[in-house]
Amino acid sequence: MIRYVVRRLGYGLIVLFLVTVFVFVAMTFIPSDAVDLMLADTGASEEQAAELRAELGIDRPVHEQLFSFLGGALQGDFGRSFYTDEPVMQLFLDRIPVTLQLGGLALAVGTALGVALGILAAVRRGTRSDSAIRGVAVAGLSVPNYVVGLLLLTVLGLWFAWSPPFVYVGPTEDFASWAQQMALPAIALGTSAVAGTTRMTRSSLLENLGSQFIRTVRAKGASERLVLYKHALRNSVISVLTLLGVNLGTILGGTVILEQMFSLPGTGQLIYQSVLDRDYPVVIACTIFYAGLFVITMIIIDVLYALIDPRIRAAREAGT
Amino acid sequence: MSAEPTVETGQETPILEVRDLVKHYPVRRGAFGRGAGVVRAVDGVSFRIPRGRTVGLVGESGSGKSTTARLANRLVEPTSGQVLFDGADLLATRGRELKALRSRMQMVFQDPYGSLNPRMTVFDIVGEPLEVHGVSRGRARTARVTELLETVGLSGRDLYRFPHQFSGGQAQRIGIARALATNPDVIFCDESVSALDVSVQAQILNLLKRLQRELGLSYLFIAHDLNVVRYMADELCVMYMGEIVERGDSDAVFADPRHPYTQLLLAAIPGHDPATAKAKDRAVARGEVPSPSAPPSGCRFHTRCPFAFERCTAEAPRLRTSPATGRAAACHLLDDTSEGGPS
Amino acid sequence: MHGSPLLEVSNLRVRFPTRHGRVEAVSDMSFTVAEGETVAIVGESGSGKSVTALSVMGLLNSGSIESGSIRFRGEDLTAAEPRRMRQIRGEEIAMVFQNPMAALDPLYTVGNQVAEAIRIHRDVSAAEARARAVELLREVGLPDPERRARSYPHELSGGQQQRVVIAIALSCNPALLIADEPTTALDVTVEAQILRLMRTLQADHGTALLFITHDMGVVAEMADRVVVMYAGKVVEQGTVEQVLREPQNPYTLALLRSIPSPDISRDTLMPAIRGSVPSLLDTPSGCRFHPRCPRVLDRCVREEPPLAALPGQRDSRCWLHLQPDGGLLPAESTDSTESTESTGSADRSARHGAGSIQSGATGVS
Repeated sequence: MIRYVVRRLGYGLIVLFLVTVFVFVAMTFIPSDAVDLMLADTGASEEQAAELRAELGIDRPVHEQLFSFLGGALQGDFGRSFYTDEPVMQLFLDRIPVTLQLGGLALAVGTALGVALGILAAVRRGTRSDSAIRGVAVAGLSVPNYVVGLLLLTVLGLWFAWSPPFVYVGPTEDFASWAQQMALPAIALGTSAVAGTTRMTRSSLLENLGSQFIRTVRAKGASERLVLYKHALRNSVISVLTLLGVNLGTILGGTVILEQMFSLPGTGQLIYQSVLDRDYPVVIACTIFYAGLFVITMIIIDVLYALIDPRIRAAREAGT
Repeated sequence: MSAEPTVETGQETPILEVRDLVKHYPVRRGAFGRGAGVVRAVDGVSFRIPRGRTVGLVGESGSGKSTTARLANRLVEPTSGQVLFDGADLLATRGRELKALRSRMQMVFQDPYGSLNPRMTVFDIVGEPLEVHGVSRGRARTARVTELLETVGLSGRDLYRFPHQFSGGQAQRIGIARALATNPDVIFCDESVSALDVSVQAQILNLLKRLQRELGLSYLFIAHDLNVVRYMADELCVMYMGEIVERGDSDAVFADPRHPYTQLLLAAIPGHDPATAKAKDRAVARGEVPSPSAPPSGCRFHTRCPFAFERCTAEAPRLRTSPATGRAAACHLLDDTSEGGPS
Repeated sequence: MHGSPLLEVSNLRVRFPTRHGRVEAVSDMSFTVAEGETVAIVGESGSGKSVTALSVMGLLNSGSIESGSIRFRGEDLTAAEPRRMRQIRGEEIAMVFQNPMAALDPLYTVGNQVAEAIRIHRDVSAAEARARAVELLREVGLPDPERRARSYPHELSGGQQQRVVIAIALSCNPALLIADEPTTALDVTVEAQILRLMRTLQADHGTALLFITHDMGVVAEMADRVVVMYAGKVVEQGTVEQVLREPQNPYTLALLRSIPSPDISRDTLMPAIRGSVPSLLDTPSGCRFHPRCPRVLDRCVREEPPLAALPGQRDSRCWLHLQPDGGLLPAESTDSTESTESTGSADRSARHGAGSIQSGATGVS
């Protein structure tokens, strides 16, 4: 198992490297750079611009920039912001708690609610509540998260004259204010997670409930509670876990727009602003950090698979 | 291990002969994946199928029966060994030549529905091998497919229907028509009647018999129902853990099994007479087939053999053919003392 | 013979909804099982034999019992509350299934799954249930039961898995064990082991056995009485000797003949039954077997024959029994669609007959 995790970490590093290369190449395709933006309307000469580019190190060929970045990254130096000159790592660490609160909230509540609704729909298959849950789930999957966010803001603002506070306060300082601010973006982000998890839980449960081993459990005289929670649900967890990884990706991506929309000072907002400003070091480093976060989560999910399913455990121990 | 010579049954070359066929699958073993091992799925199998005859392959699941069939028509590439099809070395053949040889060997599988594409019509299913092997085109193809369907007891009206519109027995007839499309010499029947209802199974067995008589087909016939094999096969190969442990004329082997494994296998066949079935209390083989990744030392059957003695755990018996009867068995108990082994 | 009926199924009718409308999987089915007795229900696909078994267990998924009764020790199970059915299942009636690999939950150890069956019906501690699970695994012949109890299903062979399923079924010492094709997925050698085990356990515990199978060999080995089903109907029932040796119904006779036996020569064709097993969506008029029957009468096409009582406490559903000449089937009626034409070289006929076959390791014990 440990060997397996080590191997997965190795693959993870390769993924991170490829992501880095991709981001560097992608950056060169973006029209105008940070210097254009900094010096716009200042009337600075071409020489001054070139000087600034040299100073920032973006006049060099892409591969040189890449290598020097990688060299620094290996020593824990991911570069500094063009504008504030702060280390990117510091910027990221300052802002990641907000994003983790938002994403974690959306993911946790989304998954819990999705599993609950999925169980309900599966147990009441063919009834009205099942149809209603399935209808809502389809709708939830079809609407993009920023549209949900806008709708929530508009509806609450126009009809109830309520809008969330626009200054972020940590949950330890003022929980009520924090909760008010987090609620809407978390709902917007979590909608698709709820919908996807509901559908996955329902279909996986129904498949397991119709399987032969469940018939054996029923033949023992087991209550439906035992059938559902001990056997059917546990067998459905694998597919729900798989979806958890997918949802994490969607949610991390969603924070970029939603943090901006709800003025939350998280890494999503940081990335959004940095892209607009062409603040390459920040964009690049944040992308890699997000990818790293994703890689680690996927490894954790993979370990959970093995904890749940002895067949997966056996296959890994056999090294296949 | 050298290729075991088989007895000449006539002057003719057999339509198919396999010599010392081996298939090893690599597996990694141990917690750290070190010490790569192999699963000996098929380990030195030799037999021949005379023209117009049926060779039956029996043994428990995991004995290598199906793999042997797939190696013999090169659906699976053997690790080593020789396959002679109508005198030609199949494993040395490439490209167009291989395709031509392959078109003369076909397979009929166990699951009649699973082996037919549900989205294709009968015309497409049966006509496909004609196209692949460039046998015929256009109108000639329709005529040929219709003829094939009639040969297996279906009709031209069934041409544009889909597999799910047929019963299991009829679907298996379609599978047989497809196999016949390229005028094969050999058909590999891998549990071809096992999934069918008893009342339908007999029809398909009769069809296979009639086709053999009319078209001079040879069969490699695999089935777990030993009574079915007894009815179909002229010669019998009994496999255990990738090896042939006994081989010979089917009637002779069923009447007088030599190898202890064959004896146990045949004794396990349920009788159909209630009086004897209850009284006889079928001889029950001990245990089950060991894991193929860790086969027992010496004779692979010694862990379950009622007659096992010391030598069996140490030394693997060789398949020896009796010149008098043409029968072969691999068992130390049957060793000729003149061969000079310790008894 | 045997005591009062333990199970009495009367006029059972089971329907299933399908995309193409409702189908009747079991029609007017009646049979009994006495204490300690073994009754085999034999039939091909679609005969309704498994549906009958699941009806007794109350485990029909989408189907429903339309009419009829299932009396277990006098209590009508079709009218029982779900709670009462759960008490009966596992405790008084238990079941063994066809495919042992799929019948066990892959995520729990086999010891856990046997112990669970005990704890559902018995008020015992987890440790006690576990100890009894190991004892049960020993009783069903699992080697090294302490260690095996901690194995997961995928670590066991098919035969061992089926032993575990049997241990689960026997955990509360049920009065009736229903076995639905318990050896069909197993090799013939392992089948022999499992059938012997079931016979031994049945003798030790006095359990009645309802055995669902398509295999006449298994019937001959296990059953006291036989119920033959075709397309949802009982066509013949009687003792195993009566049904297998002197079948009276044309279907039973044809079915027995179409099984390859050691006596049939390779040079003759099998006496096959023409046509296919009918689909439940499109059951034939009159007698359901008439399109395939070699002895079909005009009446068979129009009218369904009743289950006629024949001498010797046996029944058969055929108009032939109700003909004026009142006949039982002559024992030598061989005619069926594909006659036993010779396939050539007659000299290779049944030289090696049935007698010499069992000269191997078969001892009469």
